[in-house]
Amino acid sequence: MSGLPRWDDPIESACAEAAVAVGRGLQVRPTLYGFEDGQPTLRVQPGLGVLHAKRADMHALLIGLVPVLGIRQILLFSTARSTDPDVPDPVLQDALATYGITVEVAERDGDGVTVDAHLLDHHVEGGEVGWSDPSRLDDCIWSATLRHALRIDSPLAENDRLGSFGMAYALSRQGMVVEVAPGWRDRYGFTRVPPRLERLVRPTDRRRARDLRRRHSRTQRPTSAAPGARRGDGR
Amino acid sequence: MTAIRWDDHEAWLARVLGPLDGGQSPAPLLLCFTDGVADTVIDSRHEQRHDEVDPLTELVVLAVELGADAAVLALPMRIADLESPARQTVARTWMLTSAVRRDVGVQLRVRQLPVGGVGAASDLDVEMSPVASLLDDAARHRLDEDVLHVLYTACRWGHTFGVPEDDDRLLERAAAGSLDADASRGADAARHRLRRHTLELAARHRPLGGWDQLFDRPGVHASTPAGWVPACPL
Repeated sequence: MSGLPRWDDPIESACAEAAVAVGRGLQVRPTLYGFEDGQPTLRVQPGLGVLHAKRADMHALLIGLVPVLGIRQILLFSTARSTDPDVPDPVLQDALATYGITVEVAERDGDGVTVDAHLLDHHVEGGEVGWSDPSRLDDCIWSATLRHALRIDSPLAENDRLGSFGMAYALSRQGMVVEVAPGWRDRYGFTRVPPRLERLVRPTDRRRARDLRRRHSRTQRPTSAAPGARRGDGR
Repeated sequence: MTAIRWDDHEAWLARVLGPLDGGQSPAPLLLCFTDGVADTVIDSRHEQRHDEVDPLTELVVLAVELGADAAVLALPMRIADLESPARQTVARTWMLTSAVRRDVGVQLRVRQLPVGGVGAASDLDVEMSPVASLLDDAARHRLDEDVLHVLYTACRWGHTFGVPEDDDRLLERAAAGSLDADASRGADAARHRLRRHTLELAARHRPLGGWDQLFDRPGVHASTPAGWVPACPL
């Protein structure tokens, strides 16, 4: 992948990342980037299983972490197919359809949420992916979902009782791909291992969960964190 | 044998694997690359009835533990219609799963060789490969065993491995390992650890599962931005 998305140039950076999939002849998957003060920190993408078998849950799975982590800025791009409603024949309408991506930028602004949506068509010539000029849309596929996720009183916030670790584990088992920027794994609490972790995970993950919890509790113990600290003032 | 280069490994595989496809029952093939040239070829054992672990999981673990810069796993596949799984096989093909090592995990790509030599190779979604999530998982939870012990384990498991005639980089790396009086005991202990590791991975990913298993595996971190890490540590 060429580079990370930039908050000040969302359309250009979304096109750069989508061009890799388009150039390989694959579908551009809905990709959500969460930003903190203009820096990308979270990336969520559905796997193939979510795109096909669990399509009904895709919106919920994609934005599930946003209220839990308290993210306020989102960039989301996904595949789009546009047809001309003036063409009477549906078969001809399909044949004349153009393909591209939608780029949606949402930000919490005071009590409200602002969403900016753009549509771009792509064309491949000689292995090179080209993009049309962006056209602004009033409302787009993901706009309502993003507004829902970023609302201050979002009902999704009740996912919080699962904690970041539980949400990340659950999403991963559902086939979602969740990644974080360096340093943000700790800050978002993905390394905060819940007590009795073995009982919360699938049987196949139990041994690894036990190892993880032991490793975690070893680093948390005050004696190993600061050797000699319990011996008093060193006399 | 001429050197197999990373840049044109796909053409080489298409040439070598093409004629094998068909009535016979071909076995998976693993190529490991160091500095852009293949230094190990592992021809998988065939699947048997009472296998403790399937050969695919074993191959993936070997690929990761050998610690090469890049690896390509070629799997013989049958193409059937997902919408009607009861229907007969439409065609046969080879699927290539390539993994390039990075700081954290691997960068994955899945390609399909042209069926019957007609047309061009094409990309597939990574989850289409039965070993994509397995490779990702194994690379992030590497045991870091001695190369010599890994080669010993590969032979004990019944895989056939080969190195190029004029290129013994792998054997040199193996010879640099610990060879002392306890060598055989150490090797068996390593084999035991690798076996336990493969058992666990096979239970998590079930690479030989049916078509519905395709949608029931953990997420694959195939194109993680540089330096980023998966959120779930498990």
